[in-house]
Amino acid sequence: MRAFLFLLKYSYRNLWRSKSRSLILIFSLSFGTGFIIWDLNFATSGSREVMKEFLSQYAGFYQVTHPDYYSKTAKNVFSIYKTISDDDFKDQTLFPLSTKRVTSLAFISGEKKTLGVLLTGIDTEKEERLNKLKSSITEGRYLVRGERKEILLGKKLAMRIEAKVGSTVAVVGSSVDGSVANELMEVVGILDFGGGDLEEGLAFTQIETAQSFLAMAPERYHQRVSFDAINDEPPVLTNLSATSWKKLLPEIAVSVRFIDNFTWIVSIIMVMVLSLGLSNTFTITFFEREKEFKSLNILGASSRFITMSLFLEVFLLGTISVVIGIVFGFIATTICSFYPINIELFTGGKPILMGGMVIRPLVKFYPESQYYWQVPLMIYFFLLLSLVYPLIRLIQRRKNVA
Amino acid sequence: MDKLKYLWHFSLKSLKRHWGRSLFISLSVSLAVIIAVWVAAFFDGLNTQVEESVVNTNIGYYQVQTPSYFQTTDSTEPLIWTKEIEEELKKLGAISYSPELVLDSNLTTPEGSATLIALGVLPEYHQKMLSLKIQGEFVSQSDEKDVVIGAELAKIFKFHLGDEFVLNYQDQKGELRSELLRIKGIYQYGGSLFEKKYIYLHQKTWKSIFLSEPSQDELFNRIVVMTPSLKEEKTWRKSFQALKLRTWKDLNPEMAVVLDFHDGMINFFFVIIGVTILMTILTPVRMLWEERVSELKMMKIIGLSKKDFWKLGMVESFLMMSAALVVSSLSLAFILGIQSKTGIDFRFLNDGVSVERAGIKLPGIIFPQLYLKHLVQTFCFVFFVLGGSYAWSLYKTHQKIEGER
Repeated sequence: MRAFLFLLKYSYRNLWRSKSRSLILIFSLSFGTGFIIWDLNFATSGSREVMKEFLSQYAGFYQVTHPDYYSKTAKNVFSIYKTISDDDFKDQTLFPLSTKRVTSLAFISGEKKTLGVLLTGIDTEKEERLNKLKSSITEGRYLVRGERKEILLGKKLAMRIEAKVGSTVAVVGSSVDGSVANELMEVVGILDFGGGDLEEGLAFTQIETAQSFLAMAPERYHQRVSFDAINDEPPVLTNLSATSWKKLLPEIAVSVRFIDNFTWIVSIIMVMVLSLGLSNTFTITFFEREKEFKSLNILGASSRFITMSLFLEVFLLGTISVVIGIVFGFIATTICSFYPINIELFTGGKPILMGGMVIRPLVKFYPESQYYWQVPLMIYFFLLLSLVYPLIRLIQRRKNVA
Repeated sequence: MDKLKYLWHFSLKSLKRHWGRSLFISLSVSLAVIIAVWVAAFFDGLNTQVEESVVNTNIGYYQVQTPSYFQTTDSTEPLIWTKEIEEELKKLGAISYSPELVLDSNLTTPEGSATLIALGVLPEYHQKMLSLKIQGEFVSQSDEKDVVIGAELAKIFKFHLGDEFVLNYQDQKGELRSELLRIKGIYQYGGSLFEKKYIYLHQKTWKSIFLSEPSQDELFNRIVVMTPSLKEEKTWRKSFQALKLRTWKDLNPEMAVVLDFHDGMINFFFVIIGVTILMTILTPVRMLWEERVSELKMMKIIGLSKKDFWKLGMVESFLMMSAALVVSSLSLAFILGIQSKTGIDFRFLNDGVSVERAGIKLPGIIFPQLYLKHLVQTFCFVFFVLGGSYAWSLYKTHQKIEGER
């Protein structure tokens, strides 16, 4: 124990022999550690916030439907005949943070054009409380509850069929009893999704109007959409099917995963670059002290002692740097949890369009505890690797001298 | 001249004195540059392919549109496709172009409904622009009521060659109409959304089903134009003031933002990797100079001026930069030269799935692109890292010499 303490003291003193050099090394390693922690937190929180922003506008975190509502092979194919009701839910705890919807493909006719849309009947008051659909209305007003035959159109759709607030449009589709559904509806509001494709493909009406349009019983509907951001994983249900947004919007999920994985790769590259630089410095430092090592040998210090002292020196340097780096990372992450980062910084101020709608996410950081041990481990691993070459060279030289 | 020559020799010898260390510093910088520039080249390749995936649909780099189509996608007022317009397009450097008529229509069968865009094309122009893989035949002048549909649409509605289906639409007068069309060909191209949405008719067929009065002219609602890039956008905008011009970025803003986002990420990555490598290189360079303090002090006594000291440092730094530049440029040219031919399958990042965004199927295999700008980036990076490290080290060493005097 005393020998170890001596070794520790010796290594610590060696570390501070060239103060400025050690300080620069510590600073670069701390900067790297802090940045990687910040970067990983940014990637995780960024994906989460972007998705939260996107999903809370309209899509929701998961949908509960009839097991055969969505096609098993393609989630963009669905059957309007497969309906559900509240009675199908054994556990109704998800009701407060979810809303029911009736959906159907329909054709909307203006004076010159007929265009296909996804017509969604919504529980107006519940949707107003759970998502941001209402805030996307830039002209006119939101839907008023009841079977009032009102419709909200996307801006592009309205432009293409030349409909305005107050216009009447003809809506044609297939009802669940097999007959042709048709209805005249009044345009009461225009939705602005920032120019995304959804503006062209979506229309909303009251759930009561949609049920009547599709000849459905008032208690029946197609989807129960959850906006519970905390319990965002779909529950396991026996008689119904719960589908995550990741399966419903695979193109978005894949894009987000790509960015997440890319961030990890960048972090690993950074650690490699750092360790290469450190290895360089260690090599120079160790060679510089060869005379000193020889003197130590003559005085009776074993090669093991010298090697151990070098390991300890690197370990001490790594530990000081990692601790400072963790503090750096923590401070930076905490600041960003109070002052969120606007993702538009990366697009030169342009809004981000995702899944057909514009999103303006402010990335508020939620520090992930696992990064505070994963990153240091990664740093230690690469530090050890960076020691291998200098040590081999040192041992070789000693053999040659001997 | 002799003095400079002497400085060169001296610097070279100083570097050779600790050749391992010099090599290591150069290699560290080179490796960081190679990684950083490779990532930039990868994303440039990705961006180029994303751009190509978007423009090689029915979008093109530019679309010249009629004013009414530009405003509301109203097809009822097509214009005549003239030789003058064609000449203008050629003059502006268009590679290929296709005058098209566009009809929003739909299809309803027991299998379901679909929204379709029926494009009235002139095959002699369209086929030069887009090479569709077709089962059966493409539309032709001899067509009666023939149509070419996408494989995805055929799959969903169980259509085969020779089958007929009813196309619903509103004609030029706004009247609801239905027309029976025969499937002449089934194409495979792009993503599933593309194949589901677009159907092709010969302009003759399109005019016969949509226009109220027959027309012998070749018409267009839009002209889809392929060019090498969007570089000449200003010139194009000036040339088409009566007609309206849209770029692919206007037509598919979601994908345009993806490219901007990638560029932003790369710039951020460059800055961070630059700062990190600067920090790690700074120490060895500083050590390199610090251990020569006594030697430099002696040189100072025998007449080394401040100016010569800096010259000496700069020449040494130039030699190091040259070594790092040569190594990194050659390595990058070699690596990217191979990868730009073989490509990199990056679907492993997405569990083997190809990304499909905004109706566009993005490439699964990326071919990194080596541009001249990458060499400029390499130079700037090396200059920033090694130049910065040397400048700081020289400054500190000089201070030390002055202080010790």
